[in-house]
Amino acid sequence: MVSPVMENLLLVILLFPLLGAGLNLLIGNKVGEKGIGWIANTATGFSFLTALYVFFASGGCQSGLTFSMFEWFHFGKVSIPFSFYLDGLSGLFVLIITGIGSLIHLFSMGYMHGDKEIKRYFMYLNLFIFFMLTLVMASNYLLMFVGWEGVGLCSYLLIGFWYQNSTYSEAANKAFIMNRIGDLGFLLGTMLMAYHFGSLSFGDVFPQLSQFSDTGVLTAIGILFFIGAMGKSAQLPLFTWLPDAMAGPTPVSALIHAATMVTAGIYLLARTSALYVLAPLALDLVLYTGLATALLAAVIAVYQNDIKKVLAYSTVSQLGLMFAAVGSGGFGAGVFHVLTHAAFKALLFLGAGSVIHGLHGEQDILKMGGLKKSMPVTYLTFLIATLAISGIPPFAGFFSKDLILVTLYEARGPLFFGIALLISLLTAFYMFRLFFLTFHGSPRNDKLAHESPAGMKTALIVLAVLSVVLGFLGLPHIFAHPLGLSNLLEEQLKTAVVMSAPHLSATTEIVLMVITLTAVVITIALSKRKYGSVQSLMAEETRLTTLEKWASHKFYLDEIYETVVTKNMDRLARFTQHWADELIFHNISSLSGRSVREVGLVMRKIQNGNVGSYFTAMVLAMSLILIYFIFQ
Amino acid sequence: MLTNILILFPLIFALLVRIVPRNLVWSFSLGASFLQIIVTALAIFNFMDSASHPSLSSNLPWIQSIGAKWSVAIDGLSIVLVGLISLLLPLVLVVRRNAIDEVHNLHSLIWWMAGAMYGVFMAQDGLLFYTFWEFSLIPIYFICLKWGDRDKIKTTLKFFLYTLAGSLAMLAALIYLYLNGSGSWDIQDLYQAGASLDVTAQQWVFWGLFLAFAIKIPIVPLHNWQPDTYASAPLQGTLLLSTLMGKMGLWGLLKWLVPMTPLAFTINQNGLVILCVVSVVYASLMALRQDELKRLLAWSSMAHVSLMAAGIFVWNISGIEGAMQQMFNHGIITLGLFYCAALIINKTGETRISSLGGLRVQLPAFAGFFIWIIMASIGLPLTSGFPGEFSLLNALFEYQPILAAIAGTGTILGAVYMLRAYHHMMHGKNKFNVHDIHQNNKALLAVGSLLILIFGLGPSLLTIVFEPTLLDFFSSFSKLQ
Repeated sequence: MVSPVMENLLLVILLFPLLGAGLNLLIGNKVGEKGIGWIANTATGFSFLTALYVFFASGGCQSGLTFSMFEWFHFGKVSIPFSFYLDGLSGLFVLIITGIGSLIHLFSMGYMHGDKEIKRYFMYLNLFIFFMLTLVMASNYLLMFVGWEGVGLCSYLLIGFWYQNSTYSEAANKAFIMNRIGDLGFLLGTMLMAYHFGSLSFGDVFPQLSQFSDTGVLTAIGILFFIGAMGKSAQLPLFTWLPDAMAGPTPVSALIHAATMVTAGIYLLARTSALYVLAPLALDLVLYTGLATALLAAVIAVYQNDIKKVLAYSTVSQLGLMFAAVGSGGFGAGVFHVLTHAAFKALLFLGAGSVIHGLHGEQDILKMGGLKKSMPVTYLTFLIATLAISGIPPFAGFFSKDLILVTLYEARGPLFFGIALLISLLTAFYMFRLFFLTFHGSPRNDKLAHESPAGMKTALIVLAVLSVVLGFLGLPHIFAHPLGLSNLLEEQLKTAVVMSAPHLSATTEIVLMVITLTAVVITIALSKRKYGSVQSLMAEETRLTTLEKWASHKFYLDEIYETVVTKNMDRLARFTQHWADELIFHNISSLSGRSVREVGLVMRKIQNGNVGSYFTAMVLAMSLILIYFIFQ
Repeated sequence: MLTNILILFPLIFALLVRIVPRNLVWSFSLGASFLQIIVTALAIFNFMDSASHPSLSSNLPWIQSIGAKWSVAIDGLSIVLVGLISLLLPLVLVVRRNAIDEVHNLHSLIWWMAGAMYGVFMAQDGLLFYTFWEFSLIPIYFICLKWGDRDKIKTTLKFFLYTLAGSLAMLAALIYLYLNGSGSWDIQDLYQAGASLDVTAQQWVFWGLFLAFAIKIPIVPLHNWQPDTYASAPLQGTLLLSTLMGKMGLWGLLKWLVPMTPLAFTINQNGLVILCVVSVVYASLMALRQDELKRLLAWSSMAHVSLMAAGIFVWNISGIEGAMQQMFNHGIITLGLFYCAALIINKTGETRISSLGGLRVQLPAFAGFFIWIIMASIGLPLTSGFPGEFSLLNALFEYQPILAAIAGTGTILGAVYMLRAYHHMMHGKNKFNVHDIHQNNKALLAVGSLLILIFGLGPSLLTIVFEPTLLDFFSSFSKLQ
């Protein structure tokens, strides 16, 4: 039995970051850069420690902790309370958010050192943690939406953090607006749900599902929620904001645009798993969208030269894989990959940040090279993360990616497994391309690289450790059973998320694993042969085939959107302005004004003060009246 | 008693303020507006303490020969708007302390206008309602004419003619109802009279009243006066028009149109809801095309009020609740937006968005307030702009999901034009050399921002006031129908 005291701690977890932001707002100007950093770090750190305590003291939150406050608002008969809920799923997410969040706060102190606006930076970062926690701890969909839009706001503020750069500020706008498109889907989904279930609280809606027979409605809700997820988690067609979002400071990319916010879509779908399993059509859409996005983004990533852009497309691609898993019913597999991805992708971004920091702002990997010696810690940790994302055992990514591949094979057969495998191979290829170009070969610029300060290094090392150990939480059964261990992640999620029981034979699983592993190793070898020891700026990178050129321009998707959506919207607006508003409404209103004046001018002639004309009019009128009466 | 004070005190003070020494006008006015807030607060307490209602209505003979009465009352619905006037009045009075000669005149006209608007929201008598309605037009006409910018004569005339045309149609409709009733102008009797009419007659009355209200709100295609007027009016005029006067039209829909002609309303409902949704999208698209800051805000405001009108026409609890909430919150948010616009225009002398840029560097605090108010305007959760907008969209969704989706594009377009404008004005390279805003400005912005937060966190503070009345109102309407 969970004690009420423990449930009160939910609020503590949530409020620490808010408090940090508030404190910095009030006294940030007085405490100096160090003080600001410590306030923010302490806030997130305490939040993490509290979360850890609650998580373990309540046995992984399996029985569900609830903390309810007052009603936020209601519409019709549906009431939306400020009520927070921690179960196996959200408990895990809270740990990811506050844990990775703490490390990135720590890293930021070094990275943002010397920035004049560091107070604003840490306030936004703390605020982000607060909203992200609200998102996952909400006990109903509208409160989740508070967090959902709140993180969008923080993301907007942080992408455009260096607002004097117009391009950055535009990237921020783009992110917010594309998310808004998705958010409308989310909102319409909540309305449809409220209409049919009379509530938006998880605890009220899910139990009703078993008696609910209208699959059409469930499918519609599922699709609408997924449209929301498309925006937030950067899936086709709403993904082009994420690469642009790299305009923000690199730790922000690590925290928001890799580890936490962009995985909110997976969280939403996993949270709603009970509904999705009843809406197979919606799940199909999730699967196809996820796979298409993953493949497209992976192809694009091969042809990017900006270190952060490569990682951004890689994030889009990995998110696509998670959706593919979810779409084939593997909610647990999706969440598992969120967990491992949070560690190694954050590590990759922070490593990239360390490199950019060390090279004083250089981001082009063609101009890097040979950093192995000057940045040993960054090098080693980056290698671990690269191995992890490529799916080499025993690093974390191996386990989660393997689970996704197996799930796809199980649910959808060899073809889908093949596509996902291809995506994994592309991932290994571009990641090692990035790795070799950055750290191996000889230096291709004249900047003096230096290793990052201790705080930043600490964050890297901790994340590197996590990138190794986290995978063991989801040890596959074929390994776990013989060793007498259990799949901890499955245990953790089974009460909160609908889990499919694996039924593949151990032999098939091992065969699949061996195929995958062999292919990945060969791919890495290929990548090493091509990029392993590049000495000078490569000419071939500039001589691309047509297809490759398309890929390096992300298949001109931005341009297509520009022509199809933005241009047409502007055209519609211009049409409205010129034709409807100016030509019709304006003219009607001035025409009526003018006609009154014209009539007035005519009428004025009658009152000309000439007695003779008055008399004529009188006689005329009287004779008309007479004639009328005579002939009546 | 309290009702009469609320209406008459501003009207009397409008005269008194003319004899106050010039340098004291401002403080006297502000003091008086605080008195008005106290009276409003008393009225609210009185009302919430439901046992003692009598003090909240007043029924005196007025023009006995035709059965018109001085009948005013506060109920749960009108108190929201009464509260809004009282809350915004001091803010409207202080937005521009100097830079206005003839401050006597201005304050006198503002008070006059406030008194008339209190009357509009409280009137329970058709003729009295009409009288206050017209009475509120005179001061705003003079404010726009006297202190307006370029083209003020032309735009003010247009505004005046538009509203006058609407008013005449309304007067005709009300007289027709009166003649077909029991010789009384009382709103309940007029309801009865309207309900007893046949369909054709109801249609005439309906469209007569609709014309007046739709022009005031405004809804496409009766909006042509609005952007010009908002843009050329002086700050105080714009604030009165956008935050309060438009609400008179919405109030009319709710209280004087739909229940008056239930049959005609049922017939026209579909078309009206669609018209309002079109109006939302239309205004949003127009806002995309604006380069002039005040015009952009004018169109944006129109998109919001059109959505409220849609919510009223949907005529379910969620819709009217949303509309009531948004009427109140939109008032505060719009005041904030126009105030920010005025600050920018005053600081830089530029009215066009494209010629501004990089202001955030020198106005960091202002930038923070401004983006917060913008977020409220585009309906970010936890700002006061969200709950009402959600309820409105939800009401539309219950009526017809497609319409909710179409109106919902307004929230996307809202983000587009607002953030685009903010980006052009505040971000990028700094083009201007301006001083940071004054402490007084900051205080005012802080008050607005706080109100946005309070009603965003606790929308129930508002709904608790009007909900019981709304439910009563609704059930009595179903009886009429």
